[in-house]
Amino acid sequence: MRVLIAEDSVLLREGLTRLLEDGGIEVVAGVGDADSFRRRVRADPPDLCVVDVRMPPTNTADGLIAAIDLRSEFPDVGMLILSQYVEPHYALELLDSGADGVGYLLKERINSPREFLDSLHIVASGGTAVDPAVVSVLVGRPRRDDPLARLTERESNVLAAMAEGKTNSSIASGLYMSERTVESHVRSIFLKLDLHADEGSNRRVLAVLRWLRS
Amino acid sequence: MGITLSGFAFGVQEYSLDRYQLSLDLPERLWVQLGVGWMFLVIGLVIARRLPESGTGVWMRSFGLVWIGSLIFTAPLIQWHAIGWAVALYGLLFVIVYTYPSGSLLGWERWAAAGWLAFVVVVATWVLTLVDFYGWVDDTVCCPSHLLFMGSNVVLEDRVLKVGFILATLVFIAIVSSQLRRWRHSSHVGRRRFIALGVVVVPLFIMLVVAPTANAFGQGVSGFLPDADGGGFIPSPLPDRWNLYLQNGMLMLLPVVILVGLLQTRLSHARVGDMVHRLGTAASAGDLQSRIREALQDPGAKLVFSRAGSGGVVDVEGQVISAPVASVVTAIDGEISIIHDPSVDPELVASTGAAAGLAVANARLEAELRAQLIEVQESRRRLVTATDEARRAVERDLHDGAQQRLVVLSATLRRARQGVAMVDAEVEALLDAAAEETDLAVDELRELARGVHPAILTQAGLEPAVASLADRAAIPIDVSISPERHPPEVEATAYYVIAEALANVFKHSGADHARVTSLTEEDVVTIVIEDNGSGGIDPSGSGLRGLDDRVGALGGSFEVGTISSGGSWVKARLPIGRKVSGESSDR
Repeated sequence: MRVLIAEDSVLLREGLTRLLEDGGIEVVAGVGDADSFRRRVRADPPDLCVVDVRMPPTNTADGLIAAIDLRSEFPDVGMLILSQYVEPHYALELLDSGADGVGYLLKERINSPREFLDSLHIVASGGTAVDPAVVSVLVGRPRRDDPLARLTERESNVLAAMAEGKTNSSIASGLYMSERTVESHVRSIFLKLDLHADEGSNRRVLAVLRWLRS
Repeated sequence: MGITLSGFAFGVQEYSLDRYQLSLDLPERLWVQLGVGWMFLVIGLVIARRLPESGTGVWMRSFGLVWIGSLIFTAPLIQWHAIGWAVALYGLLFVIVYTYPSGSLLGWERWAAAGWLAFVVVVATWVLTLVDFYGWVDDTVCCPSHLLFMGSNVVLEDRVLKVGFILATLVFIAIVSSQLRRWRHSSHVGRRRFIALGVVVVPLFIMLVVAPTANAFGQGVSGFLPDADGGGFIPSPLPDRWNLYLQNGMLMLLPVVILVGLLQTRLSHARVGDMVHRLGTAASAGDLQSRIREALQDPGAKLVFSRAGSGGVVDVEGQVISAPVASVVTAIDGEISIIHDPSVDPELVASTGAAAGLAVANARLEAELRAQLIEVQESRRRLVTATDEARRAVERDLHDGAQQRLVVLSATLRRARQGVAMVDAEVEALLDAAAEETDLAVDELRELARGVHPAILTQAGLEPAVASLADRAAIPIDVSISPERHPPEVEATAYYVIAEALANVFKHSGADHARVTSLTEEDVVTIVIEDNGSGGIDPSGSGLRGLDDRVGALGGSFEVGTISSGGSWVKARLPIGRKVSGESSDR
């Protein structure tokens, strides 16, 4: 797998490079601003980009914007956004550009190299990864007559896992239950929350996140 | 007072009418003569009431009373009638003409007037009580003989009368020349009030002084006396009825002319008053100049400003000019002057100038104040912008510095832990604890940075930033915010208003639901935060005061209130334009 790192902090870029290389992943380039990021991807599209949200030149959300732009040009290039912001808005913006092969993770996830590399592989293979902290903010969002209160604890866990972009099999192994059980939980959740989405596909991540944000 | 006097005069009139039927050759004669008295009395009262600054009203009132009062004696005591008539015509009338328009006698003038009045009374009494020219005093007709009646000495009385008329002529000439002198020294505005007076006074002069004097010297004294059988009080070659109307009409005209003259004086001052009033709306020096022209009635008048250093002056257009030869320059204050026609009343120029000076000083103060206000507003705005920028800088430093370093540190600690795994359990546990502490520090630092300044506000705008607030809120919040972007200081202020108001709601209101709306229309963003709590929001709380200051710094408005059905609202209106409000665009 060929990975490009777009991160303006040299310290983090080096740390990331080492982490990926330790995990047997080829880092094809490391860039420090959004413009070089665009140039490098266009010149030689990698399999995956690990991108910092905030980068020069304007030091706002340049990295995220560039990633979203590039996704429309190169739908096959996975985009894993690394951020220090627990902002569902960014995750949703990214997912709006297409939920296949995108991820939004907090930077400290690199401290758990195994999980981080797993997420990286998921995104590279067309899956979705949303940071648990972001999901937790959304789930914890106060609602009037909160429909989430009608969910069982198990169902709540399954919902959060869905929001993180996990597949049914991944949820099943994570929560120590069978895939069939997961499927029935998912159906029950969709019924209780009046959610209509393709139960199996990545699009359900967006549907769940949208529902949580509304 | 006026009513009492009128009542008295009316009583006298009734009495006279009653007694007067005797010697009426012309039936309207008494009516016409009463008309003269009433004219003086009523206009005198009007002037005394409406234009109290002029004493003329008092003199005219006195004339009217003496005149009407003298008519009471027409038939029974023709002498008393004639004395009143002489006092009115030769005494009070002279005083009225002399003192016009001020109506007041100063210093020696009082003594002169008193002396002249005494002289008129003495001559009239002498002549009329001691001499029975026409044999009017006749017991058999109506009246008892007068006590003082001593018989006729025609030669003596003739001389007395001649002296009297010569003196009257001299006094009248003195009066007219005194008025002429005043006329010459008056402005063209002031002159108008003398012209009308002259039109009436000159015929009166001929009627009262020239004709009787000529008469006295030509035909003897007999022609002088009030002609009880004729139309007028002065002998004339005209038919009686003509005489009656001409002479009394001329007298009736005098109070009217005086009233008009006095009103004109007041009008020219009223124009200054009017100007003072309208100066408030004089937006420019040009406006001020046209107001001055109107007030002075001098279309060529110019408002000029001294130039610092050089001696010249500039007009309202900023052109350097010199005063035309045939004009007068009246300085108003150190810096401004009015160039005007020499005929304009200096008093009027002075009052106009004072008013204009006030306006100029006022405009100067206002401009200064406005400049200061703008400066203060700009400085408040700069303070807010600088504070925001400082907050952004702190957030940026935390994000790019400490936060990144802690993340890397945490990673490093975990790598170290991997290194000692299975080797030293104690060190492993310590490194685990250190890594977890570091993760907590990362979390805390993230929240701290978020509190200092939410990066998403700058990066994505108000709507995502407030939605993010709502994600973390203690109660459900409906967010309805238009997605368009605004200048950073407007977005930051809007955000802090919302954040602080929501913090207030969570802390104090007991509400279980709140709503945040923002609407942009015509360069103003209106933000409303409502809750369904217990209401009674305290606008003097330090948090809300701070918001008021912040919003005010951007030239916006900030209000709080209570909803009648319970709950509170906070409303802020923020202008989007760069312009500071209070700096109106039309100046």
